[in-house]
Amino acid sequence: MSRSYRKYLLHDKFPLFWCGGCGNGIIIASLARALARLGVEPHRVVATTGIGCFGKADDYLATNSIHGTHGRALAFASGVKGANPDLTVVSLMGDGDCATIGGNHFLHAARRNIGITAIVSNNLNYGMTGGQYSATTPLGEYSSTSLYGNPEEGFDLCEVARAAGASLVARGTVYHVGVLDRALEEALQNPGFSLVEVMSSCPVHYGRRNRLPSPVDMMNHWKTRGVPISRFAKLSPEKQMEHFPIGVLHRRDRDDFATRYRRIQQDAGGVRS
Amino acid sequence: MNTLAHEDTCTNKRREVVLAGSGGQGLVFLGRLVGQAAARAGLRVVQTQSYGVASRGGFSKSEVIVSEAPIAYPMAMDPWGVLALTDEARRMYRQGESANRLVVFDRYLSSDPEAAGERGFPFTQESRSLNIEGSFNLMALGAFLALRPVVPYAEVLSILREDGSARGEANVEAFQHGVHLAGDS
Amino acid sequence: MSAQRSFVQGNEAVVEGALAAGARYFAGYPITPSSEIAEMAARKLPGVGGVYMQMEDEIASMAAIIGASLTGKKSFTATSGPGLSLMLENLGMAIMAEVPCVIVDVQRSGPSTGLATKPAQADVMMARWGSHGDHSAIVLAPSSVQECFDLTVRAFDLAEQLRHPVLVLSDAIVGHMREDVHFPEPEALDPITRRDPDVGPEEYVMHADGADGLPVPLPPFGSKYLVRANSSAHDPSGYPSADPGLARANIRRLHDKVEDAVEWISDYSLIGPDEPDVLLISYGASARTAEQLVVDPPTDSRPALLKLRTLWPFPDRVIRDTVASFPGVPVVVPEMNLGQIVREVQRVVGKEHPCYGYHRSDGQPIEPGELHRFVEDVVT
Repeated sequence: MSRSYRKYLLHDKFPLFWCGGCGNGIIIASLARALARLGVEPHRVVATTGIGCFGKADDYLATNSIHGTHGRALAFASGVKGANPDLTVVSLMGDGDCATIGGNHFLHAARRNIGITAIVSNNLNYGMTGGQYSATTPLGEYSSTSLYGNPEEGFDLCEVARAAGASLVARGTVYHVGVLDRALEEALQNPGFSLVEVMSSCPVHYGRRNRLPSPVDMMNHWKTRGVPISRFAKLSPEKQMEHFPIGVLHRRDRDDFATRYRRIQQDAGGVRS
Repeated sequence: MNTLAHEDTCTNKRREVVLAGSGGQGLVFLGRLVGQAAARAGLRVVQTQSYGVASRGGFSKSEVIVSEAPIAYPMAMDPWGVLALTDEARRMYRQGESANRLVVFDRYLSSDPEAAGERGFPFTQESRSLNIEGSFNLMALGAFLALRPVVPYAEVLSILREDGSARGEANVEAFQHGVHLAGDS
Repeated sequence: MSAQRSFVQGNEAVVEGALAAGARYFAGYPITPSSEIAEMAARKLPGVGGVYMQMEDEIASMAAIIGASLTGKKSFTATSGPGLSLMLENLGMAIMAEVPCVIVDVQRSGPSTGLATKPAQADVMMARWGSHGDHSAIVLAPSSVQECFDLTVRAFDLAEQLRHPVLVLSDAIVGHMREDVHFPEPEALDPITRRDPDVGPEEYVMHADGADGLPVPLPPFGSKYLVRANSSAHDPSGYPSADPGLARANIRRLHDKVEDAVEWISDYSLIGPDEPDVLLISYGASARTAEQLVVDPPTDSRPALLKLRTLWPFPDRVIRDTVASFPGVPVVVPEMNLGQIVREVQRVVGKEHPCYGYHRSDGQPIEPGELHRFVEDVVT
């Protein structure tokens, strides 16, 4: 593989800020590789982030960026893409940012099918603030605010995105990097809204409290739980309960927001057809 | 349309009128019409309106202030004329202390006999007999402006005529009929 | 043609002003009494190649206009108090990242949902201090439909010049009333447009001042320049930094660039007799009530009016000089709240000078009669 993906990264800002065993660096590298393969110039890319561990993703990207407020990465991105559909817009969020405080923006960005690639590093808890439970923490699991087990059920973000209208929904893990690379490449080419959920490791907070205390434990966890969608479909219902599908889970052919709005502009005489 | 003088339109005095009744009677439309006519006539004008649930029924009003000089306070303080299209509106404004105030009302909608400072007209019946009931409010406005000429009729008519629809024609007819009702009485 | 007078609503004049200033992006969430602004933006923007986006809430609306502005499109939103409460979060982002944008708040009676269709002027302090952290604010207050147009044009200019969000603080009276107005021909306006930086992409530093003392130009996303808009404390390039010295310099610069510009931001007018017996200081719809006392003064009354069109940064010097020019004349500040601008005026004129607020907070306008009765009591 060519090393050209390096131009998307701020090498002078390394080493990464995140804890040992964190999956975030793997996701950023995968994004950089996908951009390199597609040949998008860094100055044509806008990365928006919110707050939280993965909210610092833009610190390492040599692209334009909006490091915004907590949960609002998709709202900033919607303004960027709405005003200039020619830009490549990616929103990098954690599960707290995207699924929890930003859940409403997530629903509506998917509903609008606006051309943003939402990349969610889902580590099943709030890492930055000390490992509290989020909207994706599974029922019964432990966190610094669910010491007796989480009383709430977590979202399946891919199902939420599909129901809300996203035109591409994919899931990867930080172990299955090939799957992730391909999913990101396809998502970045989708004109409408794409979700790429990445199951990511947080051994320091999530893992330590849920019997996966080391980086290797967490990697093994993803390795055994993540099953390519084609194979997942053939598993028995009991087996499916213990696993989750990875790869591109859902594609839907529908016009994106820019295409639809351009028609409105043409009808109003604001742009030439 | 020159049956009535409108010398009062040509002073720089502040003139306040209130168009009051209930939601759905098109009072905001009337207010905008008067305001637009004033602006076309080169007058300074402010129009305000009741807003919110009032425009979906219940008491509703539109106020228009016309002057040759810039207008400071944008609401009516002592209206010179009131078009009252409900009994409630009529009672609300006839208690005013202004000696100059005229309250124009619809005899069908408010049946008490005329008191000093009031003029009642059969707008509802007339508009029904002419089969232009939907333009009853324009008939009322025509009569009102004949008695309280804050804007030239010609401007109102030219705006009404710009709407070439059947409704627009009915509005023109109703407005002119209203002017004559007031002029003949 | 230029004498042509239109008859439009205050909210409509805001959109006319925005379009005349070159705005091409609106994101918002409908709320009374501002919804006509969204409706007219939705109707007019596509025809000029612009974009209207209806967002899921006011938090997203504010975020979206920041994102859009960073692509080079002049952007605005409109709301009322409950919506501004939500926008405060990302108002801070626009301040921190120095992103030009315009927010129109058509004030209504609160607190909370309050009297949703009734006017108030009680968002004055929220507009100044609502967003957390040290910051300044630029807030303009129209009192007529003409000023809705004029001040919206000015708001976009100030936003571009100072790379700062600018609030137009209208109210339900001004927003909903219709008046005859004059919209200048497009060529008569000379709105400030974004220009390219003076240096190349390698040397460009986003958070710095140019030779004119104003923030350097902001290149759009997609140009050769890389732009890092950052809500976190950052160095002049926009890269995050926790260095106390950098934080101090950044906060100071963001604050001072506005406060130091108070003289040329301040817009006001003084009307009335040379020797008034009372000085009224007001703004927005209440200034119209005060103006009524000046243009049609009750017998034995000689009020003057200092009408403020800029509320923030607060025009201390203007207040001080005007009050000093009328020695011993008491000051009355009428406003539709329980006392917001009056406290600023009292701070400026000092404890010794007689200065009183006249307040009404029931969703009704201050009437000339009641204000006159209050003024009479103050004068005698």
